[in-house]
Amino acid sequence: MLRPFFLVIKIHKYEIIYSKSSSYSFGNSCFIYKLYKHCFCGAKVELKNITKKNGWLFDWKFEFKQPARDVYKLTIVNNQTVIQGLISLEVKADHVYMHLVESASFNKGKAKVYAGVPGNLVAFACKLSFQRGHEGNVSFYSKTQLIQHYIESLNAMHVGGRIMIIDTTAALKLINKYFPL
Amino acid sequence: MKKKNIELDVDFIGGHGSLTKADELAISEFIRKDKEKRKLKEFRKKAAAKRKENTLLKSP
Repeated sequence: MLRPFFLVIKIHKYEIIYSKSSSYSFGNSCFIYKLYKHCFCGAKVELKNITKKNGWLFDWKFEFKQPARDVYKLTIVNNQTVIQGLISLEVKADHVYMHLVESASFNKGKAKVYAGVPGNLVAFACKLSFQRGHEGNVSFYSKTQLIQHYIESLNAMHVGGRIMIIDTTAALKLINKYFPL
Repeated sequence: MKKKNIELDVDFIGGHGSLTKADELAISEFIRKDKEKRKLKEFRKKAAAKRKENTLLKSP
């Protein structure tokens, strides 16, 4: 299984937000892009193929239309047209809320092409949280069965119910793992 | 023994809708407490270092 270096870029205009976010033990290079809402045509083309028919589980077009949310795509450096994964984030008053994270169909299951796509996107959310002055705090809802897995893999904390939080310490660990200097 | 790092192994996260007001408040409360805890820990660390420094200076 390939493990590429990732790079995060905001979608639509393909503006590189983070250059060379070399990911932990990855062999290639990747980008994360943000899909810009103000220049809609580019994003529309981008999202044209993000359909359930193509193996995507969530309605990313709907996600993109939400004014408070930002959608980022993950690509490898050598091929920035193929989306490896998507993330939808909302910057709240004191943290970043992770609405959705999804790997492309070919990065799902045991026979995935690239490993580390969701981990990289979550690390990106932590990085964004630091940039927005929220000290790396990221929250998300978890399935009950996956709470323990998130505690072990992301060092996330279970606040109660289905709420999970990645705090400053855990965020720093993730950033160091996926975006080493 | 060193704890083994587990890789995040999921195909997707989320899809449970937006945060409710109550959950948002719970998160804010958690973050506030976490911040306080870290500050206190840092303060204690600094105080301990200062105490150690003072004892070293006093000792002949």
